[in-house]
Amino acid sequence: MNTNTLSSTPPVSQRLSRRSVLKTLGLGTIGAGALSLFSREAHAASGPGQDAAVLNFALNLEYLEAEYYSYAVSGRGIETFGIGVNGAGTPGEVTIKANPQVPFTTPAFQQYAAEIAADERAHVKFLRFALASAGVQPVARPAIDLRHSFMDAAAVAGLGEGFDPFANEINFLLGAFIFEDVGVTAYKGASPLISNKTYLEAAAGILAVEAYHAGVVRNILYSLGREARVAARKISDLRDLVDGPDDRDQGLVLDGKANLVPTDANAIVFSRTPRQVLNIVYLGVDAPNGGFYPAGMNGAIK
Amino acid sequence: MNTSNLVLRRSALCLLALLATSSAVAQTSSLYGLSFFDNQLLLINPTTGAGSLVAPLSESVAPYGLAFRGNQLYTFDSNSDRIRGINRSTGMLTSSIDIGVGDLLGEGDLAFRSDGTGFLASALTPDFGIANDLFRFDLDAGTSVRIGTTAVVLDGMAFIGNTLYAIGQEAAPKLYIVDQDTAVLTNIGLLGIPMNSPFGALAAASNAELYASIDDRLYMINRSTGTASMLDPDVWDFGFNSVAGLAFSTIPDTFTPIPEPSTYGLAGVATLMAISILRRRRSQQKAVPTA
Repeated sequence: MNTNTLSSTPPVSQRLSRRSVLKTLGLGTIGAGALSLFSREAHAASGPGQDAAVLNFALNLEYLEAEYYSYAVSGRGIETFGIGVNGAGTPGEVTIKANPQVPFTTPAFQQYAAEIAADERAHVKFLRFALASAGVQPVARPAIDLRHSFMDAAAVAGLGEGFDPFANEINFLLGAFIFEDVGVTAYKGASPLISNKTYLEAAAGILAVEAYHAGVVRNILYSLGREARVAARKISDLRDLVDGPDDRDQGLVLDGKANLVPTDANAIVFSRTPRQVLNIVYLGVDAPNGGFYPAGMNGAIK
Repeated sequence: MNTSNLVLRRSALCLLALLATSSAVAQTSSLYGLSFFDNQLLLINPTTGAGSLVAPLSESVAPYGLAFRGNQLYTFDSNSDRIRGINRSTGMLTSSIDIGVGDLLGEGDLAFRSDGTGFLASALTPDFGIANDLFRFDLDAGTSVRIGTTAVVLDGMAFIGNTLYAIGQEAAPKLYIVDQDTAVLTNIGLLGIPMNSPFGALAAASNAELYASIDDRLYMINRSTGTASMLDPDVWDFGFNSVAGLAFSTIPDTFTPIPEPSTYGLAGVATLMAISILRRRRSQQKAVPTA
């Protein structure tokens, strides 16, 4: 086995200053964090407004993704990349195994992971500035569990006990598979709830980026053969188990054929409500916290 | 007097009156707006709430609101931490004035009292902590004093006389009176409309009417109760995004107004009518044989 590890990560070109964020927003070409789907009733909570609630919910998810990919690629968290994690709500630490850097054996996979990691960190930075520039305090990074959450999820999904997403590149991709489809479907549902057109345009850009990520992950897992496809189906079934009563999630194979792009009958990505997203990341139906967020998310939607 | 000359003279007077009326409309106070992300300077019809583009600002800024001091329009740019003068006809940034504040973040607003004293609201600390700063500043001396911390982020501020009114950046926004010495807010009442987008603004007209921009739509605000009322229900919004500044010119605009097409139309109709009457009278005069 090739035990090469990543001694260095690609340079993070997404050095976002306040000015560059504003300029980016103004021009409308975006890259930012993963939004989630929100139902109207989810916005009854107090706060500085619906847009801020939606963007802060997205920021919670972006913290999770950015930490996962950053640890996997470089063995260190997003703070070491100069990204702030303070803000409103209860701040928390990341629970993760020692030496989490994934021993990639396929250089291309390593490069994909590094690119996605840089994207997710940029999303966190972007969202924090997009909120702050409008006078809205971004939420702090909540406590994130990247150890027990995966074990619990894998056990329920039937992938065995003690699942470690950082053990090898296949496990890493399966871990990524849990997040990425959620992010895509989350954005889809969030779009009609955002009133500010600039934020909406940003959300469209974010959705596209998350869809690219999901496409990369799904494509690799499918190409890895039956075992990976079965594992992906089990994860898909897990998401379906917790997100709600209907059967909306889709694995990598549908009717015996490749299903790299999970859509409805109109070839449109399906949506998830905030509660459905929370059910997945909390790993429990109507749970107030748990799973990847042991103390829950921060912000008005949690 | 010759009848033809009389008709021509009356027609000319009508045209002059028409044009004078058009000019007088343009000489009233104008409402300006400024969008946050794309820095568009707008002219807003305070009767309908419809916006039209004056010009984009000549530089990219992160503007905190909009306010007139005399005849000069200003915003605060949190990128440079300077007060910036704006040419209201071209959008050109004409001045950059240091008032001694730094590292401000989070769009608020600025307002000028009738004595020229400025007030600036800012939301966050540089590391995204809550600040809710309220500053008083002297534009001529280039100095400022932090008055204190407001209970909520002030998204819009405007003076009526020497009273400073403000709206908060809240899901259910309220109208406040701001104590200019302590930053304490006195709640007047709920606007009665939700604030979904974090961008809002407040402006006072010369007749002491308050107007607010909430979610890029103009409302008139009852300054006794805080209640917001819709203007033209057929005008959904400004047609521009992230409007974070609103200001009435305190001195009438001096630029030459461009008549609306309807004005040209009316003038044309009046001219045609005058010519028609003139021709008819001439033909009648020719048809009547002289004795």
